[in-house]
Amino acid sequence: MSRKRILLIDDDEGIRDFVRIALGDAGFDVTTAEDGRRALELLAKSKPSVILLDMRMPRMNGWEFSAAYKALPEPRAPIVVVTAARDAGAYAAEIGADAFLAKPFRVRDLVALVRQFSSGAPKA
Amino acid sequence: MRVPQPIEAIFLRAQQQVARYFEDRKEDPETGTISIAGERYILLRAASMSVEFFDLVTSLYRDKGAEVARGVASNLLFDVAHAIGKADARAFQQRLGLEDPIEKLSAGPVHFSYSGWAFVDIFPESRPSADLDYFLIYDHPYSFESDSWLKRGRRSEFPVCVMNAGYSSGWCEESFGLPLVAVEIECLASGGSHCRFIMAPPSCIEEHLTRHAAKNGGPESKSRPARGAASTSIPEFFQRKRMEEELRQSHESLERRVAERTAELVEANQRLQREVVERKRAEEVRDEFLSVAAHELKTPMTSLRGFAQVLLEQLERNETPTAERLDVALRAIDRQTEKLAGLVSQLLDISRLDAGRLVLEPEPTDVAAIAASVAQNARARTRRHSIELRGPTTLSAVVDPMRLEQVVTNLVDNAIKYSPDGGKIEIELEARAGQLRIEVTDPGIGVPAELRERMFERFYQAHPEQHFGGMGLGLYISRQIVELHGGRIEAESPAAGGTRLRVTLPLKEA
Repeated sequence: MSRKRILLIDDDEGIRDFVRIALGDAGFDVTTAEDGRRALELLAKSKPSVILLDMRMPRMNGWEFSAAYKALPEPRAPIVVVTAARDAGAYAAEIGADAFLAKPFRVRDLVALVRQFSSGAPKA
Repeated sequence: MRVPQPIEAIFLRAQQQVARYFEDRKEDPETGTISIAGERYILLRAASMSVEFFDLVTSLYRDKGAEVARGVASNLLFDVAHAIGKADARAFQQRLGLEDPIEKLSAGPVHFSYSGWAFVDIFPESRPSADLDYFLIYDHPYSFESDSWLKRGRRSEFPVCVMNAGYSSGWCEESFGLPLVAVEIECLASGGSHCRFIMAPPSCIEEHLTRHAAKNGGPESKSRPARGAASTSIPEFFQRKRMEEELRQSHESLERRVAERTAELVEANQRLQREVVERKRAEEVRDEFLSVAAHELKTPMTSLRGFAQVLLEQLERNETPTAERLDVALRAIDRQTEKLAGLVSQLLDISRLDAGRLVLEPEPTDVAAIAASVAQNARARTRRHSIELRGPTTLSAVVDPMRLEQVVTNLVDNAIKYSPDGGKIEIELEARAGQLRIEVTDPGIGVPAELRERMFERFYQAHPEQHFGGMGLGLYISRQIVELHGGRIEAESPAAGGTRLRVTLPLKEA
């Protein structure tokens, strides 16, 4: 069984590093991008099962990315907003995300959310 | 009429003239006219101008009280009588061609008697002279005013012969061309033995009244007028005019004060509104700052917690983390802790600056060594940027080394942060003309001219819509540190793009 691919978009290197390890241990294949622009480049090559999206990023932020992503041809992966901002829930609603996770979060919660949203999604 | 001996002759002559005048009297009810020597007169019922007049005014002014009513009635009667006295004197003296003041005066009492006001009895101590020494003391026996009260069996609380006083003072005033006032010091209607008057210029009347009271009433009543005149008040011709004037002035001053106060209030209100707006803005800024600060603190915390949990979960699964993973995790923890410590330091610096407690500790320092160390550290943090240092290999100055390192680090961090596409970052150091110059130039996104000053404000963040991280405190703190050193910091946009930040400090060599 091939591993499901998760795309993490976050400008913080530390977060990218540990999420890669944590989800890797949980059996996922993790691709990371430091901003929305880089993520769009990666999406051209492979389709993830779940997108983990930080909101405040340089060059292309979460709002801009989600707008650009929605304009792409289907299929579309579920988006989980992962942010340290006070308004995590509001941001998620703004861009029509499927869920949100407030930083700092528990690794266990991250894994559970990713499992939940990757189960019905198309495999990479 | 009874007058002092020295002027008796003049008065007798006047009496003859007046008597002749009044002999020529025609009454014609058919035409409703009474004429004396060709001059029309009117007859008034005496009580209507005295006791009945007071009663009428008292009832009109019931709500204001007897004292006010008495004042109104007295003032009216005095004014009318004084005006009549002046007019009669002028008309009569002209008709008879009188020149001498005493002659002019002498016709008055006679005219007074003939027209039915009262008898006149002038006392010998009187001194009718055309100056401030003018003094008359006299009785008005058979005064029509006190008569009207006595005939009703009424006793007054105050002297009632107001018109008598007004008329005689009016006549004399006109005769001598000197303002005069008469006060009834004793009145039959208020229990006195006579209707007695003192007439003098207004400025002297008080003194005469006091002297008279002292002479007649004994020491205990020195300041009080004689019996029967207990509530004597000094009349004043057209007092209402003066009072109206005072009232008008007081109104005007009141209006002026109201206008001033209103203007003050309006200004205070505007100031308050401005303060409210400013405070609200300050609150919004602080709120936004707290939100940004929380976001910035949570980001390294997320990694710290994440790495700790990843390792813990592995241990829970009875797995041993590989040396490689431990290395990655511990390096990340170290890096994120340093980042957290930096953010906390900035918060502490802000709190010190706000309290004025950020104190420099200057000492002889090799600024070139600091710049080299900052460049070295920066290279370890970025792979996309090259950091180039230009300038002398040693440069001695008296500065706070920790704080200056903080400033240069901040400038280089900003250069890296706002050059997301990488490139060459230059640090240039120069000592010239007593000044130390440190410039950091980056090839990044640059700063619009209109924001070059604002970027040094606290909480200011360039491009908040694109998250570059940080709390918006770095350049603010740097500027404060530079200014505490007596220097300045400024930004410019090089022609090739990007941003150049320049720190200039006075060079105090060791």
